[in-house]
Amino acid sequence: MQQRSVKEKEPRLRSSTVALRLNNLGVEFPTALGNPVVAIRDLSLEIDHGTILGLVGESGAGKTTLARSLLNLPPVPGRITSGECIFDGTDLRKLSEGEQRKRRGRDLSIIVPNPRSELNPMITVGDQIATRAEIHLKIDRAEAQARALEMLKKVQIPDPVRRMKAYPHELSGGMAQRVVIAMALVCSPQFVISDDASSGLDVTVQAQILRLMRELAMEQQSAMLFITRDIGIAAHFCDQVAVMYAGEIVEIGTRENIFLRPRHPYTIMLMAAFSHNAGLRAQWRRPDDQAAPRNSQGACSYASRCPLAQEACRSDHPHLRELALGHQARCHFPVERL
Amino acid sequence: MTNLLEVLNLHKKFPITGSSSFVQAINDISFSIGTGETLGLVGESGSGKTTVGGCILGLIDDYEGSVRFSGQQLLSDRESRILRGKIQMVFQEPGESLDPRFRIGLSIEEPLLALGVEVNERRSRMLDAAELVGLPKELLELYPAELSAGQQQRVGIARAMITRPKLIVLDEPTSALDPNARADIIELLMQIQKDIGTSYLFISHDLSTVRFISDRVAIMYLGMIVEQGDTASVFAQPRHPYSIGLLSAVLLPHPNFKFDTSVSLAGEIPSPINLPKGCFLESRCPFAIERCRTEMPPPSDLGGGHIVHCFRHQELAKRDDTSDIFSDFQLESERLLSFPKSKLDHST
Repeated sequence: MQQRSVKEKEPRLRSSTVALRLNNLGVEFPTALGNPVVAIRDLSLEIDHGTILGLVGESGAGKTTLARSLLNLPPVPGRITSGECIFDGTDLRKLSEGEQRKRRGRDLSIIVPNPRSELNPMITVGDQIATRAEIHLKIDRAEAQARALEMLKKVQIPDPVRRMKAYPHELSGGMAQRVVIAMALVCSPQFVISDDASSGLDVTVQAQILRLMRELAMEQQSAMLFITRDIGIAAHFCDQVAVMYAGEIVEIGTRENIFLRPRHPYTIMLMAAFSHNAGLRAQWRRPDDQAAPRNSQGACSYASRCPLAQEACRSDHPHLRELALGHQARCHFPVERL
Repeated sequence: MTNLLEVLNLHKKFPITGSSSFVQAINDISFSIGTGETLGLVGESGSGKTTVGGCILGLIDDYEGSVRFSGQQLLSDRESRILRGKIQMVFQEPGESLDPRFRIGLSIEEPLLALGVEVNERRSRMLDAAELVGLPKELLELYPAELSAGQQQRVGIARAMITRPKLIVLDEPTSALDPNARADIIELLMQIQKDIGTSYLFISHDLSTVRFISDRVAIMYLGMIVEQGDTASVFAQPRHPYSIGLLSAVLLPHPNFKFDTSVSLAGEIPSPINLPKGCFLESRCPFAIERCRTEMPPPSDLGGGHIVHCFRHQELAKRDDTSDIFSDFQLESERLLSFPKSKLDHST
């Protein structure tokens, strides 16, 4: 059996302007049977200023748990068991609860998929945006209102002066999502998480919102973690892409490396699912394919589903290895292309 | 191909309580579906796609226009209820459309109760339907919550197939599923159609799926079909600005495949109450002219069943944005993702 006493050292994409660095994060969910489910396993990543990192994977891979844990708010009853989240030179988890609350919403912001659940139905959207600015930026009410209006203009809500006084139920889904984005960005956060924020929108509206988020992130030089199930969005909208499987990053790299030179069998299987080519899909799946077993100690988490699995895959958990500049995969036998 | 379903000049208004105005959900729609054919019905939310499905199934009545099935006029009375086993529906949210307290087997055979089929035949047809959709026998004794979303949607399809329908209305059957489960369901539907010849009305906003499953496609906007025709021809030569806008918003999972067009639609779909007199897209359309504001564009037949409602479709046809990126993308993914030849012996 493998004993890993030394912490896994993982090569990273180099850069000098790291906005957020996550080191060896582990998150567990307790179960009634005793053995906790490992939702995030020893996960490290970095996101640069002005960069959008796309995070793709199927449901259950741990994407949302990761997003919440970055804010030190793992989904109940999850528990962060290890790791640090270095943001602006400090580990968020080492700060007092009060300090953390000051950061969340101001420096770190999250946009969730269901905009209406995020908005208070009893308060006008203008007031909700202004309140966040007022509290976090310590500005007076009038200034906060002006800032809220400016944000509504930036997210291209038609007739923003009138919409300031609108209640959430008076807005369409697309507009409510714009309001939530305006609220997330009103304090010019340095780090923005979008958790499947465009999934409920129609395609033409989605295209507008994606363009908008990208422009605003660039303008403010924010770093963005963009979680999505739609790898098409990642292919066109993100600078870097991380593929997540069973609580781990199995492949990460520049958008071109991931989409034009995929190396991990899981990444390829996922891409084949979008190819509308039954033959291609069948090649990358085993006939006995089923959901991933968690807690696969001492083996590759994907070994039971991988058509290329060898003996080593069942006995040795692979590390994330650098395959090329800006391209890493967690695989003993990364797929070779001629 | 004989037409199994013919919808002619369908209109549907919903009155708004406490007001004299109406929601004009469907505004003069005509289309047909042949035997063994799939029509993709595409549009954004609020465009009336689901209402069309409801009218066909007789779940929505008091519509104007005619719905003919196998040459017979469908009415919202007993007679059409007997027919209803011949038209079935599969819903968007598989988990929510199954009774949580019914075992899977019972959920599948329930439609036969309404048709008065006796118990032994119900049981044997249930087993056949489950086999058809690839549901293992062990699952039939479980409850919906114990199944994955993909398996739940197989139950939805088995339940629809059990009455041996000629037509299935599939209302966003894959939008709640993960990519792999979605591809599995699409492959299953295509296999069933190949084996049994069932016709589908495939309602979806996922254009790349529609591109590959449909023989013909109809694009809806505010209760109108603005363009319809053979899938290949509509996707390669879209003539309506709305179709072009929709296609340009499709994001295929490859950074180099982008629908090459300058058309982008501003704003959102307006309210279907008090619709404008002219073209419904006028407020969002980059090509709108004065005439579009005052007059509804009539249908223009471009041949081969390709019909478009736009005054300027001929000018749009000249635009140089007509390559079929979907088939190019398929070729490229085949090249990029095919299994390494040296490894073809699946090691176990």
